[in-house]
Amino acid sequence: MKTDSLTIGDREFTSRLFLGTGKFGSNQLMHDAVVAANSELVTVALRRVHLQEQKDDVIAHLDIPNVKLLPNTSGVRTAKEAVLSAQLARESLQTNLLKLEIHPDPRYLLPDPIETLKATEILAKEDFIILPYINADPVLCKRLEDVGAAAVMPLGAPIGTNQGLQTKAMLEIIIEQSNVPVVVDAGIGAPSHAAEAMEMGADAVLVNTAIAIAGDPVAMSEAFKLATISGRMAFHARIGAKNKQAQASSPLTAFLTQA
Amino acid sequence: MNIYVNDAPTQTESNQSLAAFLANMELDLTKSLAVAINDNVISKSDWSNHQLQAEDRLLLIAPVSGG
Repeated sequence: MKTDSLTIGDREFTSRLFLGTGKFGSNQLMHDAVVAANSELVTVALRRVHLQEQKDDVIAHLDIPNVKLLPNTSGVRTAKEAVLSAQLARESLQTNLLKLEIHPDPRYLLPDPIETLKATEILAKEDFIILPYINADPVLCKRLEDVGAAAVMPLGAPIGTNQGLQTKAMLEIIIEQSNVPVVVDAGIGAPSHAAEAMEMGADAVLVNTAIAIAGDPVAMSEAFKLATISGRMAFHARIGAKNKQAQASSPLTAFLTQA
Repeated sequence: MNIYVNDAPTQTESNQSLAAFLANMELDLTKSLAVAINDNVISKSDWSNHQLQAEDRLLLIAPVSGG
C-alpha cells in the first residue's frame, strides 16, 4: 500500500489527527486520549511558573512513543510577544515546531491576521517550523505561505464552540489553492466534522474541546481517529457527484412483466 | 539587590548567577523551564555563566496543557 504520510517542514506524520491537550479532567485522561487517538502531534501552551505552587507536570504525561509536542503562543496579543513566546517555547521544549496563535479578544478568540503575518515573517527567518492559526481567509493563507509558513491552520469555527465547519466555503478555496498542508483547527465538534474536513481534502485536523469535554473522552478520541482515517480514505476514493434529480439504482421496468 | 520575577519584585544577593538564583528558589530545573531576562531568552547552557544585574526582569515559563 502506498504511504500517505503528511510532511510539515521536515517532520513526517502517519496520523492526520492532531490533538490539543487543554480542558481534560486530568493529566491521565489527557494521556489516555492522546494514545487512543494514535496522534503524533499534540499542542501545549506556555505559562509563567508559579513559584509557590508548582503544577502537575503535563510534559511527563505526554512522554508517549511517536508523539511530538507542538508549543502554542496562546496568551500573546502582538507579534512582538509572539516572537518572545516562540523563543521561550523553543528553549523549553527543544523544538522548532510552533503553533502561532495570536488572539487578543477573549469573547471569540479570533486570531489577529496582521500580527500573525508579521510574526510569521520574523520567525520564519529564525528557522521555526510555523503552523499559524488563522481565520479561514484564502488570501491570508497565501500571504503566510509566501513568508515561510510550513502549513496553515484555518479555523472551522471559533475555539471551543464545537460548531463544525462554519467556514466550509472558504476552507474549500484554501485547500484548492494552498501549496502547504492545510490543518483545519478549531470548531471541530464531532467526528463527522473531522471526516467532513478530510473528505474535502484537508491534510489534517486538530481537535481539542470536542474530545476533552466529551462524556467519555478516550472513546471519543478513538472515534475521531477512525473518522479522520475514514474521511481521508473517502477523499482518495473520490466521492461521487451530487445530483438534484434522482438517479435510479435498479432498472426502471414494470414489475415482473418487462425485462 | 532588587530584581523582578514574573513581575513580582524580589530581593536577592548581588553577584549571583542565574543558575544559583533558580536553585535557591527550589524550582525543579528538569521541568522544561525556560527563562528570559529583559526579553532575551537565556539558554540553559548559559545559566551558570549569566550574572544577574539589579533591576533585571526575569520571565520564568513552563509548558502547561492547552489547545
